[in-house]
Amino acid sequence: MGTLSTAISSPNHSKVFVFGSVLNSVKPNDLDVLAVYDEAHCPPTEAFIRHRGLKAALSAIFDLPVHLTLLTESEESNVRFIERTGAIQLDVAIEVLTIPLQTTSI
Amino acid sequence: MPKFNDWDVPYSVIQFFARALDGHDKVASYKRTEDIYFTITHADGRKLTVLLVNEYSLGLATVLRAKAEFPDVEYIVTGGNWNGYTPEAKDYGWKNSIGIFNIGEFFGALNWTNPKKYYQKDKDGNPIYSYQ
Repeated sequence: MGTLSTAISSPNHSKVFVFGSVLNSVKPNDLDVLAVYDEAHCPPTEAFIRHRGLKAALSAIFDLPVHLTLLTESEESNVRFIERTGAIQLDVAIEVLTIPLQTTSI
Repeated sequence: MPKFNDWDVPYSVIQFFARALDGHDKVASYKRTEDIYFTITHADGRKLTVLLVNEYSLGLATVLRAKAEFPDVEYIVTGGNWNGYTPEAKDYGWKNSIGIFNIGEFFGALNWTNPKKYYQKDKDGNPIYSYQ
């Protein structure tokens, strides 16, 4: 599993979390992902483009459509998204998730 | 018209929004293009351009992407009353004349003379925003 978390490389200065049904279901319909990025290094105008690869990699590995939420560090701090949704960091999630992963896709 | 969109907006959300438009007495008609872009003719004759998205927390990145892909957008609405937006996204909207709302707010806004300035009020008349 350590290989997997290494393979899913998030853009520099971004922290990636998962939340929603994937944490509670063995057959989720999609993968809800939160990326919190540092706008000093990733302008919000470029955030979607810079996280496109991450989204594609996660979709391939989890074999699920990925619903990506992008927030600056400041936005996350203001709305406390992680706290409210119980989101957990991706590398931790990979260790505890019960859904099968498509390891051949990496 | 493309069958799907790359904004992760499910058809169920589009259908819900379209049905609500059909039933709103301030909506004379509407046209849907590019799957999630609506041009609404208000009962008073004005045209409103609306991008429907499906964001739990509509952030600045989504607002800027919307503006880049739909330069004429006047309103960005995130589907579902349980969804919202960040203070930064709302603030950007105020400064750039883009109405940022969740779906429930948007249908309330249509009743206002200037929908972009719409806000819900608490019992004391103070503004409430759907910050999520």
